[in-house]
Amino acid sequence: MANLSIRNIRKTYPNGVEVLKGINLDIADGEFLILVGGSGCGKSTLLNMIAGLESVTEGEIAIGAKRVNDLPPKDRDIAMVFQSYALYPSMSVRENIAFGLSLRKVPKAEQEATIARVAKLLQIEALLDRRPAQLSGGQRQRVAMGRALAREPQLFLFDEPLSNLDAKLRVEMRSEIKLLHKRLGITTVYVTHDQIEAMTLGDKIAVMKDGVVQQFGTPDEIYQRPTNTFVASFMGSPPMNLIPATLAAEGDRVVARVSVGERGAITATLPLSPSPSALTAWMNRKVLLGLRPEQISDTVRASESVQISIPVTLTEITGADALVLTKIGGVSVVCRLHPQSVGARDWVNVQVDMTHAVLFDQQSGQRID
Amino acid sequence: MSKLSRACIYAVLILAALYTLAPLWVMVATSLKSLDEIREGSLIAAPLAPSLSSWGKAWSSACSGVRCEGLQPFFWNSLIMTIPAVLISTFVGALNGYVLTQWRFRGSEVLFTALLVGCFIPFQVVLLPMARTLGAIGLSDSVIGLIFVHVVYGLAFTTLFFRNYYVSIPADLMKAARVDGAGFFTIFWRILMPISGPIFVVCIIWQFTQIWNDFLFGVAFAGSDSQPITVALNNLVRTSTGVKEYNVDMAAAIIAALPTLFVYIVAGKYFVRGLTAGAVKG
Ligand SMILES: Nc1ncnc2c1ncn2[C@@H]1O[C@H](COP(=O)(O)OP(=O)(O)O)[C@@H](O)[C@H]1O
Ligand SMILES: [Mg+2]
Repeated sequence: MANLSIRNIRKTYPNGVEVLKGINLDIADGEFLILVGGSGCGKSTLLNMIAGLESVTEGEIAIGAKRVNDLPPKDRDIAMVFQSYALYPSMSVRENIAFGLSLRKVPKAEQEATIARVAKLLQIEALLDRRPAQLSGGQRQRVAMGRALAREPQLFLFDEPLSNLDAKLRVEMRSEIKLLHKRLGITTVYVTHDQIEAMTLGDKIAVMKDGVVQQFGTPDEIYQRPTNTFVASFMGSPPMNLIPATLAAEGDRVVARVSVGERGAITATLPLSPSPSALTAWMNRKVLLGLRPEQISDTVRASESVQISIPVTLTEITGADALVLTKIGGVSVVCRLHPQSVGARDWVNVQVDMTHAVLFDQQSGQRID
Repeated sequence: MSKLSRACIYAVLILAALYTLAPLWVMVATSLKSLDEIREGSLIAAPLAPSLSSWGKAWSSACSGVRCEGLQPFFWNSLIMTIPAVLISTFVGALNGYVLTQWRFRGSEVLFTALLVGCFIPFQVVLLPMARTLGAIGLSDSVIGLIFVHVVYGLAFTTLFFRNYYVSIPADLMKAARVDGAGFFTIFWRILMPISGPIFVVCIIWQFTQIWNDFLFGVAFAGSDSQPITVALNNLVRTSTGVKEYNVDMAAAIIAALPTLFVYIVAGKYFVRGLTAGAVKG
């Protein structure tokens, strides 16, 4: 049981490339931290540094208030699950699970008990005497988890453990990992490039890009109040709409004016609520108005909802929702409606819920508060 | 495929097989004939009264230089030289390959390239410097010296074999083992060795053939009582008292070649498999 603290971590590989540029993260005991970001942003590097598999160029890593920078992996009391599962090919499932235990001189009887326990937990009892080559992808994944669970570590590390599974199995295993975490309460760091995995699993999410944490917060904060346009478009599917708008004062409120339609002949006025006082500097300037697809819908969600009429470019029925593609502010915008409210019409009326609207600086992409 | 083209292919294959096997047949047949029969009969005819007497002579009483004890003592010389040299060079090559792929360090690629160049250095170039080195470390004219030469010369090849085999092992496997608490040698013994069977076979066959068949290093560095069988065979064929005993020469040549033949037959199917396998299935 331990908290994890990462202070000003930098990593420069021997070839001179700086891969991590000052990372700061803190999670409490028992929390589930997600590192999410595109390929090559340094997620695995950071995880390997926490594990002790890569050296720390600069900064400090502490597990349970103990500085671990110079400890080898085996002395950090961690367990790790890899994307490729990394099962020992010549050993049976049983031997794979027992390997770490026997290296730690755990008595034979205790090893047997542990193997029985994790095999039961992960329902792999029937596979114990097979070799990794005789297992399916999903079974290998379970065994890899079992090997990690056998050690009852202070800290669990996962590096994209589900990305080699097919879609159905991935969803199943995702819930199972979540349940396991609930049951065992072990502090976990989980790397993924899949934002849905990030949103569903994490207590805290760190969104990374180019070796920098763009935002660190709860899934809700990340989803509702992304700090910049990268986070806004990376998290959420479909991503947040970023609509060019002009701010203006109208009475005692601030409104965002956007053009609607292909030619932009119609202008819609959307009152911001609440109108932060910091916006005075932005009057009559162009900004990006961030609206999630479900904030442009046919449901009246808040008293602040504004009704506007939009042209329909394309409709995609996903089952529960109809994703309507339209043109607002000169860019393509996705709205989430009920399937029955879109017929074969060219224009539909939608409600824009402005309570959770976010504004971004067009130049820097940073959120305006 | 038409019957005709299939027949053509078989014809070509059979001819090729006959062509390669013909010398062996001539050797076996001649070794079983008496000298009279060799003089009168045809080269490829089967022996009329096969006899193993020339084999016995080649093994235990033919004269090679001044010693007339057959090939037997030299056969053991070759064996006690070849077996340690093969095992040591293979094992060190495995360790080298392991380090060069899984424990890369600054300059490891340069080192590997340098080792690779070692594969292309001709024997002759090594002779004089090696003679001086052996003299300096006091191993001239000894079996141990000869083993040393073969190990050094063979390392470039064995390292190359193992490096190319181990390079396909995923880095995650090493990481998982390190997290589990395994160190340098534990990973080598417990994880790599069990999956290295095919490449060990390839390497051992290659090294055994090279070292057993070597003549130049044997001539240059072996003492008179540590000469390998290849050198003794040469002396035996060239030592003649009056008549040239072709049957004994042939028997001696086959005896000298038998161990490599044996190794191929025992391990041959792994040889091809190991050369083509490479990838390690997890
Ligand atoms: N051993 C290494 N030497 C040099 N560069 C590396 C090494 N490992 C990773 N990198 C580079 O560091 C960057 C981040 O890699 P990684 O942490 O694996 O990214 P991610 O897991 O987010 O996809 C990549 O650009 C990658 O090419
Ligand atoms: Mg990665």
